Amino acid sequence: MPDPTREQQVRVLVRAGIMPSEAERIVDKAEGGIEPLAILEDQSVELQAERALSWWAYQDSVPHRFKRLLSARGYAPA
Amino acid sequence: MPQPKFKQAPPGYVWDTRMAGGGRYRHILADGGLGKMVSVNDIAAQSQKLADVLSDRLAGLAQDAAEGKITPAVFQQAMKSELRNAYNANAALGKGGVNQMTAVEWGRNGGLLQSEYQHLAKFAQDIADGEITVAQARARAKLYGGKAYSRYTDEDARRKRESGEYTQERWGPTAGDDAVCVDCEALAARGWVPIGALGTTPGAGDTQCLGNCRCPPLSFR
Repeated sequence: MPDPTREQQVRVLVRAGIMPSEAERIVDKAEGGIEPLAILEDQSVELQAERALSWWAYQDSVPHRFKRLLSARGYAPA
Repeated sequence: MPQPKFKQAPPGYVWDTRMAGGGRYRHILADGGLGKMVSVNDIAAQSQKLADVLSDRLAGLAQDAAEGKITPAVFQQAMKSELRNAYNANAALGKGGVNQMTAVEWGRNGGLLQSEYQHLAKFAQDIADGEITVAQARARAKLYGGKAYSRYTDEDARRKRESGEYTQERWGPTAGDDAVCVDCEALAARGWVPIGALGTTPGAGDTQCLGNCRCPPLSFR
């Protein structure tokens, strides 16, 4: 069975609940195949914090009030 | 320089450092004023719900990988991304918000994630080799999500221990149903013990239920 295309995989990830921009980043990053060992990305604390908040806001379980507040502050989609 | 009494916490809340145990969340009113306290149970319930949502999502990703809808490499990267965000969000929740997080907490997350990533590499390879069924892949992925909950319970417990205001801690109460594992029952049965004597927190993987633990955060007095 041939591997799914980039676009197909992005769609699967988005359907799973991952933000579209993040889904594209994930698929592109996986082009090199499975990483054999743990590799921690060199990320700034600010980026981590932003991602944490974005993820938090994106969950269906988070009250809409949170989402609106986060969206207003540019952290996450409404 | 004097420290501010109120620090920015997750949106909608502020972190009030005047409260016991290093601080408590408070609501922000519509007019910007300070509202009532947010109950610890509400925060814990949010963290548990986030872990449940994450577990289901990770199980779905594992199924997609096992069924060939995404490659094992994409599965690995997606899991890493989800875990990193979940660990950071849960740790921040336990610490009192992202603004209370220091290099120590970020670093602790990094160390724990590194260990999880090693397991994850093996997991992705097992899927690539066709060594596990869809059902097995789903069950295995769910454990990763449950463990994210422990980042909340762990940071919450650390903050309270470090406040120096308490001398005892207690596990539970458990849900009391058939799903509760013997380890959690045993820990809860110990009642109040000296600070640090429990040696673990719910969801940390030290109990038989591993990442499926749904016991509440430790209590302190």
